[in-house]
Amino acid sequence: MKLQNTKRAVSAKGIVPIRLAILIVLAPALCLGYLSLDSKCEAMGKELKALDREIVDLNRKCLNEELRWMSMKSPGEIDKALRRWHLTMTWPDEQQVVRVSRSDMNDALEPGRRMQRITQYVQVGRIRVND
Amino acid sequence: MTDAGTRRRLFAIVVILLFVWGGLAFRLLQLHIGSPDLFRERLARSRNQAQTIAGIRGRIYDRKGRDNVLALDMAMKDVIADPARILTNGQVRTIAEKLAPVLGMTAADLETHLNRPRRHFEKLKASVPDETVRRIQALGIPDIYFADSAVRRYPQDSLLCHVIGFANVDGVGACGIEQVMNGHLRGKSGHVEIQLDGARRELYDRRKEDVAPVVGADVYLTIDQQLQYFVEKALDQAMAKHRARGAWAIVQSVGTGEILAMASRPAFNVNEFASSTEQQRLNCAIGSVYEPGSTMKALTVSGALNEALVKPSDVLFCENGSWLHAGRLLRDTHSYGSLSVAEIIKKSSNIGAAKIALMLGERRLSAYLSSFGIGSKTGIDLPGEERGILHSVDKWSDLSCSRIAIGQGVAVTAMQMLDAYCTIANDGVRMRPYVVKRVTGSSGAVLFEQQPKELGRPITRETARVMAKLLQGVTEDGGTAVKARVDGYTVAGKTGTAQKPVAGGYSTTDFVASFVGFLPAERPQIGIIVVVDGPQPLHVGGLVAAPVFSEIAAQSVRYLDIVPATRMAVPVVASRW
Repeated sequence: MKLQNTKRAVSAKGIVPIRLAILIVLAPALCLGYLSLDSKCEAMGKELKALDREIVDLNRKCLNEELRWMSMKSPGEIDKALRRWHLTMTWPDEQQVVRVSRSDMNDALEPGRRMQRITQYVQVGRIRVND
Repeated sequence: MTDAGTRRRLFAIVVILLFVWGGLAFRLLQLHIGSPDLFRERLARSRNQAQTIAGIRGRIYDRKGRDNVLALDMAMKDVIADPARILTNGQVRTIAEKLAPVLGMTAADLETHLNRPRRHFEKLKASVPDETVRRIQALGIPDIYFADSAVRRYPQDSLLCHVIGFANVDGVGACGIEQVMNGHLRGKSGHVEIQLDGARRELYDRRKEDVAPVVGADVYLTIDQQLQYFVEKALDQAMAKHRARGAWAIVQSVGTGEILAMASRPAFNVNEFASSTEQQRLNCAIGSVYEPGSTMKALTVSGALNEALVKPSDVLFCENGSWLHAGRLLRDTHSYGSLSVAEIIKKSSNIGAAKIALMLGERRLSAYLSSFGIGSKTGIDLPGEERGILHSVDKWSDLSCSRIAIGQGVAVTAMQMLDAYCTIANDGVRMRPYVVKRVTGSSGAVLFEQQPKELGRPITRETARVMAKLLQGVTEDGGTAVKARVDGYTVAGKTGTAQKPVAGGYSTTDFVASFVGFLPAERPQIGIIVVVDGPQPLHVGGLVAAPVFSEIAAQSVRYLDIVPATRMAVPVVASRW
């Protein structure tokens, strides 16, 4: 006569009911899922914050450099720099300014007149500085 | 037996779990339903956090625009300490000694800051640059933190200080353009409302509000920083050369009233405005009144010419340099017999100008001076403008007419006088001077654009042209201002040498020397005034102020590419200012 292993079946069914087993498995799974998502969100948040901070820092650096550049190229600083290197810059005399009129531009299209204008311009006096 | 025992234990576990879960569920329900307001408020207070992000102030540019920044907000850091923790750790002296040289403070000062046992937040120094921050970080001091802050910076230091002004430590404009355009320049604060979790970390998906700060509008001036530099350099040289108490100058565009440069001495570094004196902060060009002296004669003669009372060729007897009128002697610097009206201007005869004023009469003289803007503000868009002094005719004495005509008993600002001369240069049309060209929002949209505004026409075009011709004579041979000449250009203008009023009369040692004029005389483009206060030992306008005018004018015409009148017939292709 074949004996039934009733003990095992009873104990398996009786000790961990199937619904409880599902709950026991699902609950940690859900918890782990939650923790995983939470840590991902946290990591993304940290990254966002770091990037925000980086933007702020870059803006700060940009502003600082802009201020430095503006200070460096102010007329006073340029004047100082020129003096430091013993450079003299001067404005041309009115007589040394070549003003190009519209008629000059029209003349430029005619080769004969162009040569005449060029000859005229090269005769303009020049200031000799920093030689 | 075993089955029964196991079931009992399981039952017990289930009961306990149910009890625990039930308890938690009950508490949860209690928190959500029962007496919610108190808990909700407490919870909200601990979880919600509101942060205000300071708005950024707009920038100020010169007329060239974005290439030339005159004022901007700089991101800086405040150095913060936690005194309570530092005291607990017994680190006060060590930290103070380490930080003192980096922050430029004394160790004793820092110790005073750090000896505050109940405080967890103490600002040790506001607005330090990044370099200082890096140096402090390198020291590795615990319980020292940094907080973001912004500070207004002016890259040009003292250049244009009186026009730009400054914003105070609270970011509010307190002087100059910063003050008058504060409404446009100031930004709007941002606002962030966040929620924190139990570990005080931000819950990013629960930001209730995230309003970014609004950057203030940018202001573009009519001033050219390069031209301003020429003017300031010339004034500094004049101050040193003539040991003057002060000096100021303005360059104005004749046709529009735009101010191209405005400088005043003494000056101050705008980045260190707190250490400046009130005298240094005074913009004398609009805020200081002085007796103009002979520069007033041009306005008197303009009135008489406009009324057709005199012609330039009319001759008046100048009493050989001394004339008794209304019981008081009036003298000329040199003795003149008969002079034409043109010569009266050219040689600056007091007696001749006084006689012309008497021909004009008190009421008409007063009316002409008023219409030229004497005694009233020009309306320039800068704070602190004075109206000068021109009493009503009812208060004039018998002497007033002859004295006001030569610039005594009347006080003006340099701005008023320059605007009056620019009126002559502008064919008799008076323009309102202004320094703000336009205002643009952070998106680039133009919020405000200043248009040239006519204030009136005190004299006719013909009178203005005749007057310009007479003023041109002043810088020609025999005139009082040959030193105001500019090579290649015709200059029209007038010198002024005024004794300063003292108790009971006029000082014989303290003078105000000035020169006001415009060029090219035939087709004026710019007007310039130079005033030197208390020059020593030379004190005559023609020797003190005229050379400064010449210096400024010579550089200005080249920089602005102003074509001399003799070459104006040629249509110019080159770009104009």
